[in-house]
Amino acid sequence: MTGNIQRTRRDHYLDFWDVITYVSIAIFAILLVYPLFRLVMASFLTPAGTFAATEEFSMIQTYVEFFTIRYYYQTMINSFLASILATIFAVLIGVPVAYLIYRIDIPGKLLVRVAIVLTFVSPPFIGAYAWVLLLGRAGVLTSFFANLGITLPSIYGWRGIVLVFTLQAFPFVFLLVSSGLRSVDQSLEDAAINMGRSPFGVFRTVILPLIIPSISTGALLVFVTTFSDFGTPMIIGEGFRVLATLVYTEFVNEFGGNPRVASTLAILMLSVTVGALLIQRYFASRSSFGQEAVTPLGIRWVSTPQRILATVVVYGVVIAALLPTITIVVSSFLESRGPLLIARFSLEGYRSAARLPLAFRNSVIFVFVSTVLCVVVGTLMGYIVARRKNRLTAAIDTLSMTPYAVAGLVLGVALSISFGGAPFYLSGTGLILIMSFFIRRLPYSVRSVSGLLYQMGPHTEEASVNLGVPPGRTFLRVTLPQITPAVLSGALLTMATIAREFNSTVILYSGRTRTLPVEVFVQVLQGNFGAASVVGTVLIVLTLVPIVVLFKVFGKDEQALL
Amino acid sequence: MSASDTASYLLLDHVRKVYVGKRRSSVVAVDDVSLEVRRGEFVTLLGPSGCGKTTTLRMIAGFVRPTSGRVYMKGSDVTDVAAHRRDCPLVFQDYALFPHLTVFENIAYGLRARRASRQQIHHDVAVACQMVNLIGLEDRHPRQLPGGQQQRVALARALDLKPEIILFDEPLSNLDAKLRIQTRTEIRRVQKLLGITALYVTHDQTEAMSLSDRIIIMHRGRVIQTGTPEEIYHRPATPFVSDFIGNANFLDGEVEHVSGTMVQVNLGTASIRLPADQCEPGIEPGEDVVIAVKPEAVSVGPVGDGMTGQVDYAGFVGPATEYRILFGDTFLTALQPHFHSGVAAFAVGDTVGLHFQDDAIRVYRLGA
Ligand SMILES: Nc1ncnc2c1ncn2[C@@H]1O[C@H](COP(=O)(O)OP(=O)(O)OP(=O)(O)O)[C@@H](O)[C@H]1O
Ligand SMILES: [Mg+2]
Repeated sequence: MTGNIQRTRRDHYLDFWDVITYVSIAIFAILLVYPLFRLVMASFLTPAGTFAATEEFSMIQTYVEFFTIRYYYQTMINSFLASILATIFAVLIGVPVAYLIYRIDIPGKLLVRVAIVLTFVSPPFIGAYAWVLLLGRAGVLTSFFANLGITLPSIYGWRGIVLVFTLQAFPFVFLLVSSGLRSVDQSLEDAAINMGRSPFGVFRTVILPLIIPSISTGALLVFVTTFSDFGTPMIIGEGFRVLATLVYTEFVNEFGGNPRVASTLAILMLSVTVGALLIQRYFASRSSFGQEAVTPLGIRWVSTPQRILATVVVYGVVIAALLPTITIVVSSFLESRGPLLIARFSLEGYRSAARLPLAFRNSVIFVFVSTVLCVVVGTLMGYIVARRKNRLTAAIDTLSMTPYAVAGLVLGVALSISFGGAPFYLSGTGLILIMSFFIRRLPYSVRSVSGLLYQMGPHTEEASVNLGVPPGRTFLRVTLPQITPAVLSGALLTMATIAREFNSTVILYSGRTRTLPVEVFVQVLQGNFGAASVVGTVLIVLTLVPIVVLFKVFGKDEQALL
Repeated sequence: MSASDTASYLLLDHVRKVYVGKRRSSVVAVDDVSLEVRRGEFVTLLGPSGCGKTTTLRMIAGFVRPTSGRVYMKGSDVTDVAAHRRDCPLVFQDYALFPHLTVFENIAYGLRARRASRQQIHHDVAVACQMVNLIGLEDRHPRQLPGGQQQRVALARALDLKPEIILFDEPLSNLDAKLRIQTRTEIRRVQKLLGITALYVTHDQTEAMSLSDRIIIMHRGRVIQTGTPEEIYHRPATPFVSDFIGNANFLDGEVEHVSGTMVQVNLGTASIRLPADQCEPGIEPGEDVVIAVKPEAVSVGPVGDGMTGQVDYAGFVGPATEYRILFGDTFLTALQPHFHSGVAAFAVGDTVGLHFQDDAIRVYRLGA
């Protein structure tokens, strides 16, 4: 009996981690599985709001309608068109730019990297709106060239969408390819040259095949984010309607009523993104070689003309990508009348931004609360995934793959259906927004902590336990101190990404809980470009602060963004 | 040395490489190296870590441009020829096998770069696989093979180009001891069979000894000595070489007198006489010198009328007993084979008689 008592006491820590495991499962069940289940159910509702199929209305009626009515299915075609084109262009731009920056001694590399990061963290539709300022009907460049008698191509329609999508999303490819290149060993290039390949031959036969997994992951991210982005097509799409815009408008139309159409569309969108994820995983697993570089590829010496050419290409892309951000910041300091901006310096926009303080305060509070939640819960979950392997923790690991495939828009609709109305009535509250931020970013925290722990290996923890410190205290004394820097830098990233979160927020916000990205969007839709730029500038600064701290204090580079 | 020497396949003429690092700090990796490799010869660059062996090899392969000096192959100056046009396959230390290609495609890689025909490729890869015993593994990926087989793929990849010369950069350093010996025999066999010229880099002296026709000893970027393994072993040119090839004992001494072909050196506690050709040339009485004796040339026996010392440590090292002996105010290491000495083992604290194998002693000027 004594043995039993001792055993219970000694194994007390087991209970703590078991509790964490159950809580983790509950979190995913409540915030992810249940909402998605409700979403699926809602898509099978009949117009009467029941599941009872009638003669003229079967449960899959909404799906049938989607694929038979052109107004609906055309959006799917359009979405594929825009996203696939954007993905192709993003790869065509991202791969060479990443390679040139990695291999060639281009002046001002740091500046270039910061610029790409800036593009990466700015809210999704801001590019579209800025391009309207530049190339819209009354755009700066349009008017300028019109005075010279030159008509510029229109930014409206699918070409504009593809342009904006490409410039906004190519950093995904850039970042992944840069990190992929780090795992290619210099000796492989040397061996290929030594076997008689020319420099381009080496790239084609050795380097390119080895970064294919990175390219495909980057391409997937481009595809998924652009496929579910509705801000951009809404602002510049005009007649060109995509699936994401349809989800949004249907959801707004049906709000408070029967959400069957919005749910159906969201499910269709989810199927496409999940399908893309699965295809990419399959593809990447076949072309991945798990290599690690002892001596990573070095700078290649090239002739001066080649170097100048590389510099021009890189700067060209970077300037195009940065143009929207510059436009917004500059225009925020101009006088404005509705959609018209006047080329005169003014701080009036900031002085009269009556709606700015609330949005700013909301954003700061939500970002702060969600980040703390993500970090604390994410660290604990990351630990159990890496160190306490069992079926449940394996399930948690799998669930933490979801953010790659469940778009913000889909999650927003699902959460709204699940918790917006009876019996929770969370619609429009800060809580439901925090729930969405938390569940959307949590998986990244989990994966970064578990990845780090795998990499660290269990030896220091084993040594501590071996020296007589129980596992609970070992976690606090040995594990936590080792992962703290990474956890903190992860927290900064979480802050930046939550600050820019838009697609789910726009589904869930109310007047009281407006955030900065929503405020920009509302102002743009109302044609108040001056006010939009002011709020947009504040938002850009807010997202940039954690990134700057991350780079400066933690000495990270843009790889941290992955 | 002349570039038009037909027997010489590879020639380095006063080659120097200075790496310029951050804040203008610079490292002289290779300093005024001239060397020659004759056709069909197996030459090893031997030296401690960081002495510039890899840099020298990479200058020959064309990855590193010499700061000054020229590189000649088959009599023509290749210093400015691009690396991919040099035709001198290199076997890398980490093998550098292409992880995305099968064994077959790895071996065929160079031939494909030369746009060889399908039949040609299939034929040549089969021959190369046969040569290094890789038959049946053609469809594997490199990571599915153990280190020894990866090493053979790297060798086959180089052989497949039917090169006249092969460069090796410590190709065996990632293998375990037994495989290392097996593989080096294999390399030597293939090299002789095909009559290929080879330049081999290693820091392992036994490897160098067993493989090479000639050894080039490098130290701090310079060539210290060139010679056959026997010459290097028996007549090391400097105390450094003497120590590097078999951990010599060093004793301080003073030349007492030089008479014709013999030299008398006073070691403080004893005095020894030895032939003048074992001393640095031109040595004179009164000069401070250092003498080098290899452990295997120190024999330990019962106290006689010669030198004596006291056993400080005795350890069993397999085929021999290793003694550390207090001799005057320094320690000597002696390696005594079990089977030939015919003497009983000694214990710590015993006073023993010492004898140096005369022809194994080298005498150097102090500071050489
Ligand atoms: N790319 C480089 N830049 C600066 N210094 C270098 C570079 N490559 C080598 N060195 C330096 O040059 C010297 C010679 O290096 P090298 O690699 O040729 O030595 P090694 O004899 O091959 O040594 P090891 O046995 O360790 O491989 C070393 O001091 C090294 O630090
Ligand atoms: Mg080396």
